[in-house]
Formats: sequence, structure tokens, C-alpha cells
Amino acid sequence: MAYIAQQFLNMLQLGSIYAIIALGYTMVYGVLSLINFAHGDLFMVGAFLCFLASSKLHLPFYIVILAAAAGAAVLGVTVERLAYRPLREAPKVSAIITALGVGVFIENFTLALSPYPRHVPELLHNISYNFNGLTISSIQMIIVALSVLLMAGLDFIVRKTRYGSAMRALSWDMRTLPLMGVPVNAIVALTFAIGAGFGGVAGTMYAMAFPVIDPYMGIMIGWKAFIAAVVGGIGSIRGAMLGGCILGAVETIAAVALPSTYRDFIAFTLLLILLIFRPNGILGVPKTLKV
Amino acid sequence: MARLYRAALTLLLLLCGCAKEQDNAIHIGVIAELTGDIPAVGASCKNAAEMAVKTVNDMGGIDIGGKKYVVKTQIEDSAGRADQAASAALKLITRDKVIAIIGPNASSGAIPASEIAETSKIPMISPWSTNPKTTIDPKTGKQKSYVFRACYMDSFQGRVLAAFALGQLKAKRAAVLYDVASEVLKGQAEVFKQTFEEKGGTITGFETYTTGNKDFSVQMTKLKNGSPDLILLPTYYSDVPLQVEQARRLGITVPILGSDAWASHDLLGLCGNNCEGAFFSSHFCSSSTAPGVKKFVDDYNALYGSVPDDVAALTYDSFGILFEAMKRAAKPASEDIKTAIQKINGFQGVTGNITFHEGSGDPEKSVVILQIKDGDFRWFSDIKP
Amino acid sequence: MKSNNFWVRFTSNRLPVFVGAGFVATLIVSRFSLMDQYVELVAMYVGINIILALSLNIVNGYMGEFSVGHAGFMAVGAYGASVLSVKILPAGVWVFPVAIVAGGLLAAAAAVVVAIPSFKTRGDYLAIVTLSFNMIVKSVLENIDAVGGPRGFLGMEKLTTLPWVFAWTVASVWAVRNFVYSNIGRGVLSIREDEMAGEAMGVDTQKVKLQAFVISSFFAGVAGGLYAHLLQFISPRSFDILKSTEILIMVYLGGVGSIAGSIAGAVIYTVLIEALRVLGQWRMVIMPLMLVILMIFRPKGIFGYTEFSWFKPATAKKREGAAIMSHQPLRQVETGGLLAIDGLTHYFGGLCALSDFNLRLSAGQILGVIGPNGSGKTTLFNLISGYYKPTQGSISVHGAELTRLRPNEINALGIARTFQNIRLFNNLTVEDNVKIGMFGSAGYNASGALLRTRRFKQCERDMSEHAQELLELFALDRYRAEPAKNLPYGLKRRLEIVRALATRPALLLLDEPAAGMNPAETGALMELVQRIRDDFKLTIMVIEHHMSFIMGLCETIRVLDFGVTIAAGTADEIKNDKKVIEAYLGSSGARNYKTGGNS
Repeated sequence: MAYIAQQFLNMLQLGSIYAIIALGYTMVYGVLSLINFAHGDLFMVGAFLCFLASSKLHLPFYIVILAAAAGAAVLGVTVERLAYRPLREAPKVSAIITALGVGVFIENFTLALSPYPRHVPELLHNISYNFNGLTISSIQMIIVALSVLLMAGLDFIVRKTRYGSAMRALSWDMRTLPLMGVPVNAIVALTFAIGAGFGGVAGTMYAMAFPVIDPYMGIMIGWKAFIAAVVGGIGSIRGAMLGGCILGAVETIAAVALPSTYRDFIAFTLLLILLIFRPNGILGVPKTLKV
Repeated sequence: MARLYRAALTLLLLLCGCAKEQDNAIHIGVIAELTGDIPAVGASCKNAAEMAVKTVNDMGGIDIGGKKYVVKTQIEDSAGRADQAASAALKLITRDKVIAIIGPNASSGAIPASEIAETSKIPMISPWSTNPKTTIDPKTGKQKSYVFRACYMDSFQGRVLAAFALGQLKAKRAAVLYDVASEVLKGQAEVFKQTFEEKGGTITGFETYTTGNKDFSVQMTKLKNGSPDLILLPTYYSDVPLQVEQARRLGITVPILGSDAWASHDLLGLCGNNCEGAFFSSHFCSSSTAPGVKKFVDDYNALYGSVPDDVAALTYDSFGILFEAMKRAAKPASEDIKTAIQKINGFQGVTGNITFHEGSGDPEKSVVILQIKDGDFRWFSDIKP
Repeated sequence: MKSNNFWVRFTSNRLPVFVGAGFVATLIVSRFSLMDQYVELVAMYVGINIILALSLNIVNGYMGEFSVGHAGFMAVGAYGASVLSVKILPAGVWVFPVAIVAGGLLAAAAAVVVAIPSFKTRGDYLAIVTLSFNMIVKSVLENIDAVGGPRGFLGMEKLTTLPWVFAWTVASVWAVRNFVYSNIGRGVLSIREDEMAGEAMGVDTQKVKLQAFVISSFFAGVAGGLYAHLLQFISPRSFDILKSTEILIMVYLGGVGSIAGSIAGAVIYTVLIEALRVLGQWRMVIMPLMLVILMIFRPKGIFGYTEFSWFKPATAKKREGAAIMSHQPLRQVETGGLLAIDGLTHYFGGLCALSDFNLRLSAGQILGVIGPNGSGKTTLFNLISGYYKPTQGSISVHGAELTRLRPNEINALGIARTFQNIRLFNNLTVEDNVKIGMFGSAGYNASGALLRTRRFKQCERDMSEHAQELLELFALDRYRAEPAKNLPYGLKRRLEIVRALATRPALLLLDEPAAGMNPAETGALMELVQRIRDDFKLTIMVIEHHMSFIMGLCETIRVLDFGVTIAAGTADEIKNDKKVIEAYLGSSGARNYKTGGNS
């Protein structure tokens, strides 16, 4: 029983990290229909900023997380301005490939500066609580709580505020929106800032949970979070959260029930099967055909 | 369009550009994983190579057949990929006219490169490739004659670890977590399992993950469920702290044993206190007081500001072996150097005594068991083959 | 005279000569080791990468889908070929080609499995499926000890030599060229340009996608086999996501939808990777940076959507005095009912867009459908042409029920349409637009196209002639080679009609053909439609807001309002129908309408 509960906790922690990265994908996709393949690397940059802020500058936890978020957000907006905005009228795939190129660039740039993995010092003192064989660590709880809080906040922004409605409107029609007096570029930049900022936060949380970071850490987890976003229904914020949790759950269950060698195999096969039955993801709305 | 052609032409010329020959220089090629998924290995290899060459040149170069030669190295990136390791090897051989190659470190690059070295008759020493297939011709099953390595193989290490676990640590029930995407670590884990069970032990859990995974809590929880009295982690040092920390968080307190993949001094910083007391097998002990080792560690530290890891030590020894062989060779020719390497006997390297036997590129050397104690690697025992 | 003839033949066929000479050159070079081995190895990488880039370009460039896991197919081919050559096939000179082809076929088989889930949906889902496939393949290979698991597989002879790579590269370029410039290739292009319009023109998009994907994967598998027998070592890590990314970069660097682009991309990438070695670890920083900058200034890559004439097969010229082809419907009903619609009802959610629509249309008629915006006219067309599945009711043509059929199947039964907002294949030439309309009537299949059989050449020539005739008939022939997007508005409308006619329909649905036209243009269009009906022996249904157009052209008229048929009859009957006037102008506007006439 404790074993199952323990695995459930593992699942929650992994799922909430996936979810919060998936959010970054989904926000950008929702607004620009662009798969921002550099997002995983923004996440990595977030983790490295966390490393710099904590081990070199010895800043306290809440400032570290803000710095990582702000740094990633600035980078995200810069990338949007320099690399994606000139391509807004170009075929969508060109922008996606550009994103891929930006990602590879960020990875290798970091790598050229710091080829060795880095260790992030303990940001918060970890306390383990033991209940009858079930061990809960404070870090796990903070990660889950923080991501739930952030997602709720984002959900509120998108659904209830002026900026949120501008973002939603942008996803429908980018050309007529300026005619309504909406500053499109500012809204797109805001979207990138939020998406990348979430990546930065996810990087920090990840560095808290798994304190060894390297320049390539964003690749695998980025692709996986992207898949999570698609499973949840890309473009849907609640879908991203759900998708993250599902991916976390599938990976955990696959590793629990079968030899963990097959973890990737099982997880991806299950996701493919899911997509056959729900091609638009769980909360995704099928795109209406305009004939 | 015309501009494009011109650009392509310039590139081609660049590609064909010839290296100037200097008659008192000998060229040694290094293939390291500077980019790609194991940049740390490449960086250590590059550092140690540059240092080894500098040391020799500072002493006036190397004496071959009564003539002093300056050593020049050409360091190529393999990006950790098989195809680029192969093209790097061919470039070094045909372009830079190297007479010997050190590297690549990862077996996935060392195997295709060794094939090229063998056919081109250029001696190659891989510092870190532990895959048995690196030195064996897959078609004939015989040893390649131009390919050597500076490390022992993972099968030997797996056996040593099993014997150590049963003998010194008195473990009866062992659990294993390893990186399945790494040939080396998989080999170590499997040989350990086999030997451990043959000698009467029980394996209570045998879990895996893939390179890039950072969350091991699922596997750890499973391992904990089998209540082992020892956990073996043949995993890369960058993953070890996460695994140990997650094990500790789950309340696992049994001894932890690791393999040579742990042997980076960064591990100590990465692990904090969590790894205190853990044992692992290694190629060399950086805290050794033996004069050769101490000088190497101090020099390296002075140059690069960090304690050398096993890749650095093995690269340094690869150069040591090569220089030793060159001194014994009659002239700076690949054939003579190869024959001289085959006759290396009892070479005193920083990773121990190295002996090659005729017809084999695999050295005879002992395994060092280290313990993490008081925040440093401490020598625990030597296990001879 | 004779020598002159020879010279003409020599120059017009000089490509095979060059290719042959190139092959002999590679044979000599590799036999006598004339080339620096390093350059030779890089040249072989270039060849293999060209095959990979071509392979991915079929899916990503020509078809406009987005596959990101091509290394997965390469892995299947590499392992398949290696296991065959090492473990299964006995030694012999024929082992290598057999193993390579078998590897390609295995990869193609894997593609069929992957295609099943991915092509059910549109958009970016192929990305996910191929990405997952790539990871699954790697994970499976790591778990199979028989092929070495993560340790990798070795034991292959070094069978890949420069002449082999050259031969395979040329064969791949040739095959891809044949495929792209064939009927199926045009079907592939129509998917990229406008999948929905392609379906309406009779392109079996599901089948075409599958064929393109399978052929693409075959070549990825071939490249894998060559790679394996070149390095004599493969491991799952060789075929990870980074490898897929590498192929993507080559394709987009060189240019999407272009053979020249694939070649340029592979050459530039492979050579740069080697040439920039001097930069050490900064090499991999410069490469992506260059890609990003190139993308910003040339979003489609260096040769995006353009092609050297070498890579285009010669276009068939019209023969002198060739017999005029029939433009008449493939299936003709002399008299009586062509289209029968009974109780057709369609809901969007809770909104009733069309309610209990009934119609009997006999051959040769022109029927007008009018009604205010939102009255269900276009919904009716979409139901007939198969884009919507009706909530209730039945539609049959020639007595065949078509409510369960896909748009391309409905087109094959003889119904063609135009769209309210023009949906041409914008980046394709006017001629190709028309030829896509003939998709269903091409008399050869994929293998015919790949091998350029006599039948293929005959059919292609017929299609070119047919297209030329149609274009001449509608005075579009001087724009033959122009991309459709460059045509002026009126000609775009006309081309859309010609494209629909090329499918040789019995029933033509025109959705607001006169939208945006001035009275003179409208008048000309009216004559044109009438002429089409008479010359092509067609039945026509037309939606229009121009009353003069409808009143002057249509024998019978249907009026829809909020999905309900409020009137049916001849022009005069409709003109005086009270309900119609009310629906259009509201009751108070009725007087104005009567006195002001139609506008």
C-alpha cells in the first residue's frame, strides 16, 4: 500500500514538472500555431540560471526562482523578436525549423561554455516525513504545490483578464486583431514571456528535485513535454496540465508494472494508441474545416 | 548563384588544404567528444592531452632513435557520434599525417575509428573504451594489432565488483540500477549479476533507465521493495547524486557500490554528503600519494583548476604509453611504434602498472577500489587480475 | 545529316552520359585508390545524406507534412540490412544490393504501421507520431540483445564503396524525380497546397499520403543500410533524435520541395561539418546559427520550391494533328435523373443549417440556388461533395448513394465543384492545377511512375495534351507555366472551373463564381457557363448572389432561407414570389425591389 502511494507521489512530482513545461509549448502554439522546439532549452537555461544564482551569488530561494523565470522570459522574448517575428508571414514549418535551430544553438552555446555537468546546491532544506513506510519529502510537496498554483494563476490570467482575452483572440485571427486596437506584437511577446518564464520556473524546480544539470538536459524532457501537450490537446492550457500528469502517470506505471528497460517503449506506444482514439488530444477541440 | 558556387569552391579548397610539414615534429591525433552528449569526457580528454604534450615538449621534446622531436597534437571533435569519429580518424590519418591516434573515448566512436586505424596501420590507443569489441576484429574474432586501450574492460570490472561485494562487504542480497543506453554500464551490471549469483548471492532487483532520465524514484521504490543489503549503481557520475539522493529520500541506508563511471571529482561536489561511505571501482586514485600520481594531479589542478577524473588520467597514461613506446622505437614510424607498444611491460602510469601482452591490445592492470570518505576519494584496496 | 541527328540526340540525352561517366569515374577512383580516403569518406557521407534529405523532402517538402523522426526508419533499414548480410544471407556478390533493398523494404513496412495512426488526422500530429516512433525504435533496439543492444551491432563487411553510393544516390534522385513529377507526385503536391481542394479534385489523399510516406521511408532505410555497411558498426545511439534533427536541418537548409535543394542541403551540411572542424566545440554553435539566419532570410531554404531543369523530366510536347480528346463526362446519363436528394438535413450542434431539402435534377439542367447569407447554400454543396456528413437524408448520383463516401470518391462518381473563396494550388503552375483535376483518370500506378514505363509516358503525354486543350479552350494557355497565385482574380475563377472540368464530371457545382466581378465580367461568365453546359454536356448547380446572373442563366431556381426551401421554380416564378422578396429585403423593402429591378 505504502509502495503504491509512494509511486503515486513520484508520479505527481514528475507529472507536475512535465505539465509546467508543456504549458510553455501550448501557450505559444495556441497563439502562433508554432511548435517552439527551443522551449526545452529555455528550460535548461532556467536551470543554469538557477545554478548561477544559487551557487555563485548565493541568493535565497524565492529570488533564485524569480531570477530564473525572469532570465528565461527575457531570453524567450529575445528569441521571439530576433528569430520568430521575421518569420511570422513565412510558412509555419520554416518557423518550426528556426525554433529547432535556436534550440540546438542554445544547447551547444551553453555546452561550449560549460561542458561539465553542474551541481545545484540545496536551495531549501529538505525534510522527509515518514508515514508508515511512506516517505514524503518537502521538496516534492513544494514542487507539486507550486506548479498547481502557477497553473491556476495562468488559467485565471487567460480566462479572466484583458490580456488573456487578447491572447485567445490572437489564436483565432492575427490579421484583424490590430484593427481592434490590440497591440499584437506586445501580446505575442507577453505570451512568450509567460511561456518561457514557466520554463525557467520548471528548470528551477527540476534543479531542486534533480540537482545535476547539463546543457543537454532540455532535449529529452522538452520532447516529452511536447508530447504531453499534444496528448492533452495542444493549445489548451488545462489540456497541458492533464497531459503532463498523464505522461508522468504512464511512465511511472510502465516502469512499475514492467521491466523499466521498456519504459520509453511502453510510454510512447500507449500515447500513440491514445492519439488514434483522440486525435486532437484529450481536451483539444478538433479544428473546424472551413470549406 | 555564382556566389554560391564560389563559396562551395572555397570550402572544397579549405577541405583539401594541406598541412605544412616540419621535419622535427611528430604529429599525434586526438579524437575527443567535445560536443554531443558526453562533453565532459571530451573536455577532460582534451585537457589531459594538451597537458601531456606540453610536459613532453617542455622537456625538449621526445628522443626517438637519437633525434629530438617536438610533439604536435591535432584535436578533433567526434561529437560523440560514430560517423564523425570515423571521419575524424581518416582526416587525422590522411590530412594531418599523424603517426598515432589517442581516442575516441566512447566505444561507439572507438569501434568505427579502430576499424580505420587497423586498415590504415596507424596505432590507436583509446583511453576509455571498455567495450571488448573495440580491440577485436568482429569478422575473424582475432585481436586487432594496431588498436590498444589504456583501461581494463567492463567484464573484468563486473567480476571484481561482485567479488568485492560478497567478500569485503559481506553482501548477500544485491539490487542493481543501471543505464541501459550505455553499453559499458549494461555490461558491468550484467557481469556483476552473473558473477554475484554464481557465487551464491541473490539479486533482489535489476532495474534500468535510459540516459537523460533524471527521475529514478520509481526504480528506487521498486528496489527498496526487495529489501537488499547492497545497491550497485553502475551509472554515470552525473546521475549518481540524483540516484543516491532519491534513495536516501526513500530511506534506503544500505551500502552503495559504484563503478568507474563514478570517477569524476565533481561527484563529490554533486553528491554533497549523500555519497559518504560509498565504494566504487576506479582506474586511479586522485588522492594517492605516489609521486607520479601526485605530480599529475597537482599539475592538472594548476592548469585547469580541477582534480582530474579517470578520463583525464587514462588519456594521460595513453600518452605516457605512446611516448614510452616512441622512445623505444628506432624511428618515428607507425609500424615501429606499434611493435613497441606491444612490448610495454610494467609501465608505471598514474592509473597503475600497465602491461601489454603480445597479440592483445587489452592491458593487464589492476582495479582500484575507492571509498568516499570525509568528502574525498580514499584508496581502499587494489584488486589484481 | 546523320551526325547532326546524333548530336541532337547526344545533347538532349546528355544527362545519362554524364551519370555514366560519373559512375565509371567513381569506379576507377575507388579501384585504384586515387582519392584521399578522407575525401572519399566525406563524399560517401554526402551521398548517403543526399538520399536521406531526398527521403525526408518527399514528406516534409513536397507533401507539406512534418515528420521529425526519420532516423527511426534509417535505423530499421540499417539493422535490417546488417542482420541480413551478417547473419542470414550466405556470402556472395549479390548480398549487398539484396540486403540494402531488403532494409529499405523493412523501413517501408514500418512506415505502413506508422502511417495508420498518423494520417487519420491533419496538422502536426505526424510530428508526434514519428517522434514517438523514433524513440520507440531506439528503445526496442536497446532491448534486443541479438543485435547487440546498446553495445551496437557489428560484423558487416565494408561493402559500401564510392561507386555503390554514387549508384544509389543517382537511383534515388531518379526515382524521387520520377515520383514527384508524376500523377501521384502532383497528388502529393495538392496535399501540401490545399488538401481539401485536392480531395474535391478526386485525389485519394489517404492513399497518396501512404504511398509517399512508404517511398520516403524506403529511401531512408536504404541510406541506413549504406551507412551501416560503411561504418561497419551501428548502435541505437546512431539513430537518435539528434540524427533526425540533422536530416531536418539538411532539408530546410537546401530547400523544401526541391531535389536540387536536397542535394545542396546535404552537400553544404556535410562539408561544413567537416570544414568547420577547426572551430572545435564552437562548430556546433556556428552551424545552428547559420541555419537560423538562413531561415530568416530565405524561409524555404536555398532552393525552396524551385528546381533545376536537370531534375525535371522533359515535358511532353503536343503532337501535331493529335486527335482531340473527349471532354465529356466519363459517366453520362442520357435522360432522366442525375442527382436525387431526399430529406437532407444538417445540424451544426444545435443549429439547423439545412432542413428537409429535396431535389431531383435531370441531366443537362442548370439549377440556381439563391438565398441570403447563412441560408445553407454552401452547406448544401458541402454535403453533396462529401465534406459534411448529413445528419439525416440521402443523396444519390446515378442511383449511387454518396452520403458515406469521401470527397474524392464522390468526385469519381462525376461531381466536381469550385469554392466560394478560390482554392487553387497556389504555388503550382496553371497546367499542374489542371492536371491534378485529371488525377483519377491517370492510367498508371506508383510503380509505373517510379520506373517510367511506356504506359506512364503515354499517359503523361495524353494528360499534357488534354490539359493543353482545356487551357486553350478557355484562353488560359499562355499562362500554362505560371504559378496559379500570379493570375489575376478573374482568371483564377476561370482556372478553378477548368480544373473542375478536368475531372470530367457529369455534375458541376459552382459556388459563387461571379463573386467580386463587375457586370461586364459577370455577363462573360454567364456565356461561359452556358457554353460549358452545351459543349461538355454537363449538369450545373450554381450558387450566386448576382440576380441577373441567376435569372439569365438558370432554368430552375431554389431559394433557401435559414436552411428551409422557401421557393422553387423558374426565374419568373421566383421573381414574383412573396416569400422570396421578404427573405431578401424584408417586407418593407419589397416595393423597392420590384421597381429597382435586380442588381
